[in-house]
This record gives sequence, C-alpha cells and structure tokens, in this order.
Amino acid sequence: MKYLYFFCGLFLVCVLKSQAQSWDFDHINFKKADSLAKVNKGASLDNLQELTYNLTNGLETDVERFRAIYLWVCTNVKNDYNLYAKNKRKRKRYQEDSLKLEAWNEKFKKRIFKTLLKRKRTICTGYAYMVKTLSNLANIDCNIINGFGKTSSGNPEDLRYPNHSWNAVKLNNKWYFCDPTWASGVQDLNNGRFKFEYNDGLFLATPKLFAINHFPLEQQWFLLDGPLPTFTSFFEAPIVYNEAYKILAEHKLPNKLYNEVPRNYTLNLEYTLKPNIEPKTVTLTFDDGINTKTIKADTLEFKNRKLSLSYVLKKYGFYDIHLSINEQLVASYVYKVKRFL
Amino acid sequence: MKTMHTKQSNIFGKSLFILSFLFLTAILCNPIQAQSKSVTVKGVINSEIGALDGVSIYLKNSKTGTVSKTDGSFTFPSQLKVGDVLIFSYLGYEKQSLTVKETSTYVEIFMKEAPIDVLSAVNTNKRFKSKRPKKS
Repeated sequence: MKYLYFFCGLFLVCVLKSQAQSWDFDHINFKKADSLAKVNKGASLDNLQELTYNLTNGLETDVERFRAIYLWVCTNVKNDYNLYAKNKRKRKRYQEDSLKLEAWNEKFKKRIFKTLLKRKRTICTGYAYMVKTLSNLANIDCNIINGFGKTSSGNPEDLRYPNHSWNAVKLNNKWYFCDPTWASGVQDLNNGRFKFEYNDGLFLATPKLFAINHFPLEQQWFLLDGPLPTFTSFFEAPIVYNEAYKILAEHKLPNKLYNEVPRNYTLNLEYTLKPNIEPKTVTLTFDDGINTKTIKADTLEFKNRKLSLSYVLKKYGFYDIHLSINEQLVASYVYKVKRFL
Repeated sequence: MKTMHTKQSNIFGKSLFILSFLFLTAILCNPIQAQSKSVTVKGVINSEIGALDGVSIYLKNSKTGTVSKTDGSFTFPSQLKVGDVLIFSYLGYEKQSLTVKETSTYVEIFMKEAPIDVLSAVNTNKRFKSKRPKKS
C-alpha cells in the first residue's frame, strides 16, 4: 500500500511537471497585479528596488507579483530595431571568430544596458534580463534562457546561431515559460517602428507549444518529459505565430513546414486548444504565389479541447497554407502537391 | 502556624528574587541584544571601469535604500543593525549582498558585469511567405 502511495505521488509529480501552464492559476484574479503594472506606467529604471516594491506591494502570491513585474516590462520596454539589426549583423560577421564575437558582446552589452536604463529600449536579452532582475528582487526564482527563436520570417539564416532569450520562472515549485520580447509588441520591419501590443498568450505558456519555436541551448529548459525535440525537428517545424499562444495548448499535426505530397493527399491538422476556447471560425488560406483563396476544411471535429481538420489536396501546385482560428493567424505550412510522387 | 506561613513567604520571595536576577542577566547578556547595536554604513562602489554611479543600495526586504553618487560613494540613509543584509544592484551587473557587521562603517564594493550573451530575434505579425522554386 505504501508503495502504491509513493508511485501515485511520483506519477502526480511527473504529470504536474509536464503540464506547467497558465491555467494552473485560473483561480487567481490578476486584476490587482495588472492595475499595479498600469499605475506604474512610465516609471524610471533608476531605482529597481523601489520599482519592484511599487509593483508588488500588497500582492499576496508570487504569481501575482511576477505577473505585475512581467506585465510592466512588456508594456514599458520597447524593442529597439537598430540595436537588433546591428547585433544581428555583427554576430553573423563574427560567428566563426569566437574572440571577436566575445569582444563584440562585451562592448555591445554596455550599450544595451545604457540604452535600457536611459531610454527603456532594448532587445531580447534586455527584456529577459529585466524580468529576471525585478523578479529576483521580489525573491522570485527566475532565469534567462538562451537559445533559438523561430520567427515567422522562416529564414533558415536566422537559425545558424543562437538568436533569442526568454524566461523560466519558478512558481509554487514548478517552472513556467514566458517570452517578454515577443509578448511586448510588434516590430514593423519596413520602417523599424515598434508598436506595443501585449500578447497574454506568452505568459506562462505551455512547454509543448513553446518548444515548437523556442529551442534552448540547455536541454533541461525544454521542461518536457519524454523524448525531446531535436534541432532538426525544430528547424523543420511549421511556423507558429504568436497569436497561436492565445488559442493553442499544443500543436500536433502537421509536424513539418515543408511537405511534398501526391495529388488527392489528405492533409490532416490537429491541435489541442486552451481551456475555454471555442473554435468559432476555422479557415485555411491557400496562397499559390499569385492568388489567395480562403476555404473551410472538408471535415472538422472538436471534442475535449482537441481540434482535428482534414482537407483533400486535389490540385497539384505549390501552396503556402495558413490556418486561422477565430480570425487569428495560428500556423503556416508549405505543400508541394505533385502529379506523381 | 504563623511561623510556617512567614517561612513559606520568605522562600517564595527568595525564589522570585533569583528568578528576576536570572531573567535580567539573560536579557543583558543576550546575543540578540548585543546585535542590536546600530551602525551607519558608508562606502564606495567600483567596477572594472571605475567608480559606479546610480547603483541601488537597499536593505533586504524593505523599501529603504539609496543610490550611489557619481564618484561611487554612498551613505545608507538609516542606521542598520548587525546582521542586516544590504543589497547592491545595477543594470548589467551581478547583484551583490553584504551582511552588516559592527565593523561595516566603511565598505568597498566591487560590482562584476553580468555574464550574458546579447541575443535578439524580433516578433513581427507578418504572414510567412515561402521561397518558391523558380519556374523554368
């Protein structure tokens, strides 16, 4: 009997570890935390202790304190496109020369923190650093995770070297993921302007969905049990947009971005949705390079949070296929439909 | 009977006296009492690039604190007790802590830069566009 209790306990711990997600805290009302983040809008970074105190004073739980800090960083720190572009250029240039890369990093680090302090503008590392620093000041265990971030550009060049930083935070003895950079807003690549547009989906995101476009340098930071993604599977994975984090808990099928199939192939798509999300509208947009056409799937089933769609690819061609749920762009795939395979 | 009653009162009085004496001795010799001696902490903060201004210095788990001046110097605004913990924090540098001792009237703190890699990937809401094979 004793052993039975032990194994039940162990099983529960394993299950809990693999299911660290935002709805663990559905019973907590973040209204007070969110209002503290709002009240302190525009506060300076000159005294981080005071800022932490002002953001967390009166909040009862760690998750509320973390929420106020995270939301404040996401809604007060801007992404700096010039810093991003310069760092990307230099890192690319020095990727084969570790000494030059290190020298560049040391020099650039100083500039990053100066810009953050004076202008509240930064890039990924600065966002993750701010969340970590303020959380640590509030006695919350929070780490910066470095690795690869797969963006909607789908440019393989971007994944030749580590390019992204995010956070893991420990709340009630469980680790959770957050991505303050991508949650903060959207960068217009044409004019370099940044627009604040907070995305709550990236707050305590599910590890399974997170792993589709975040590949940590250290394996422990997948926070997954069972087989871990390989770099190849990550590299080949579909494009999942940030809006997807508001809707999905897990992306299951298809598991590749580029696919080559014969005519009349049945395209199967499968997802697990977040609790309380109803897929009111689900559409597939086909782009053959000249025309775009939005259609509904041949079959659609939604049961126990599991959404399954299928569509028969009758015409040969080269298609970018975009899935939207409730008018939010969720994922993209490429299908080359051939007469014969 | 009356004599017995007086003897009992005397024993009670003596015990009370001894107990009070022990209690007083315990209070006076208590190490916690000894630690409550207040200390004014002053000091200077340096880094690889020299004196560091703008460093936040605060008492752990409180709002009381100050910021270092341009020459890196600081005077903590309130009296501290032995055993209190001061935290030194500055963007881009590793957080330092100092447990206050009786001798902590002048401290020199060296801040080390945080060992981080500066990485960046931007979020756009741009729809993905594949690279199409060129038509021959």
